[in-house]
Amino acid sequence: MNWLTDRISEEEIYAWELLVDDGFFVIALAFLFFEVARYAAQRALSWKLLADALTNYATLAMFIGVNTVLLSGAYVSAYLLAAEFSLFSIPISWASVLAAVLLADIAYYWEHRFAHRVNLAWATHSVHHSSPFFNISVAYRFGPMDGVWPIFFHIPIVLLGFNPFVVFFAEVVVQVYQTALHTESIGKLPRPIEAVLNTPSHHRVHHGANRKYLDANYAGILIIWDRLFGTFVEEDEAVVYGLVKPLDSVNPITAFFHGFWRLIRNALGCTGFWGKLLYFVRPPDWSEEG
Amino acid sequence: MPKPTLIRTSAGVAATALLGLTVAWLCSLLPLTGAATSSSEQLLEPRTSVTRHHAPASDADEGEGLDVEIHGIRGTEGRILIMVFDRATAYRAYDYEQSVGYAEIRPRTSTVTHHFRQLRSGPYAVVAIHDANEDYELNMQGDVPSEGYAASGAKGPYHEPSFQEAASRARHRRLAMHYLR
Repeated sequence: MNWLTDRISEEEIYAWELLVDDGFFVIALAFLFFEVARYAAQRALSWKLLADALTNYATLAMFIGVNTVLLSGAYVSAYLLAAEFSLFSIPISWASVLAAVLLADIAYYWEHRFAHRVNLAWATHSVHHSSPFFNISVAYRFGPMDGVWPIFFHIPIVLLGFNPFVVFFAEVVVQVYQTALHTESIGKLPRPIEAVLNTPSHHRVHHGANRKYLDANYAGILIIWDRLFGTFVEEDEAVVYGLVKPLDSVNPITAFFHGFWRLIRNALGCTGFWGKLLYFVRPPDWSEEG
Repeated sequence: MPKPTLIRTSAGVAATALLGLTVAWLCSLLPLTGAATSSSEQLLEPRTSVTRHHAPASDADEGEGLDVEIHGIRGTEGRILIMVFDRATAYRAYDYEQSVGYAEIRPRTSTVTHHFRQLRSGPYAVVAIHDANEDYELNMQGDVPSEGYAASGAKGPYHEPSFQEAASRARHRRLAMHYLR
């Protein structure tokens, strides 16, 4: 078991991050072909589904443009600065990487819950939920500020003493795991797995616009956080995907920006200056009418 | 839709913070095994013996020792001199001949690491110098170092920690190289 505590260099961790992130993108593309064939066999394939898949990848391209060009410098700088004030000094080994993945997973739970319950964050995250379909291409449907909120929830892990490269890698692991959950082609898994891990079934619930499924199952890898913190819902009825107020468009520009368009429109509709300002931090299901 | 109470949510946040602190503390105690240097550095033959006051470690001691990581290094010229002290007098003098651990590393990236296998007790204070002109001195311009320097326990580039502030029994030390010129 010595390999768990063998030293790993930052370069090696970065190489693993690229392999996991980019490698799974290729696997996901292949899986998408399988899903399209499955829909075709079920006579459920439509031009709208194919157009929606293209829209998903278009939003990915726009998201990469926004985050890589505008934010990556700030992202990396923030992590490196935080490392200067770390509480503990934690060496890089597979043991500490596993621990970082655990902490990144619980950090993701709170970040995800924040994204669903605060309008300013929901404005970007709602893009991901706006597809009326559920296949692996939906996993790559991103909003313009999706790369911003993770900083605030994962910097504490750097402050605890984990190497910034390790935290980046842990975030990628949590994201890639969830990517694989975006499918209708996998039913419920054996109960021990469904009890502990996030699964396609749990994540279908999360994407549901059904009233009982709203704001549930925020987990990344471990569903136990939802069970512990009171946000778990079992899949027991057919899921209606998309938003409560559907976005009926496959235009990628419309899809990418609709969340912020709705945010600003709704805020302007509130009474008074403070009413408008506070709207940004209220939950999406809040209204002045109550 | 689930609506967790404020108390349950608050308890969840508190439990998360406690989990984070506990996991991080346990990870800081992890032993480190494997290669002593990263692929990004070239370990030079030190001018004198690496250790002076400790018996050579046996195979059974793998995982013990002192692990030092210096980050924030600028450029690849010269060498990084790492000195480990277990006494205040030697530490204050930056006297490598009285150090209990010494290494010279030519930097290839902004981070160098070194594992002092034989240093198993402590407390140890760690100092590093970016000796860009390879004169084995920390060059000064007046009172300000003109070469990079790092010290364990330093709270910033202008903080010169005492031996008590710099010394620790922690097995993994991560130092920031500061450049004031």
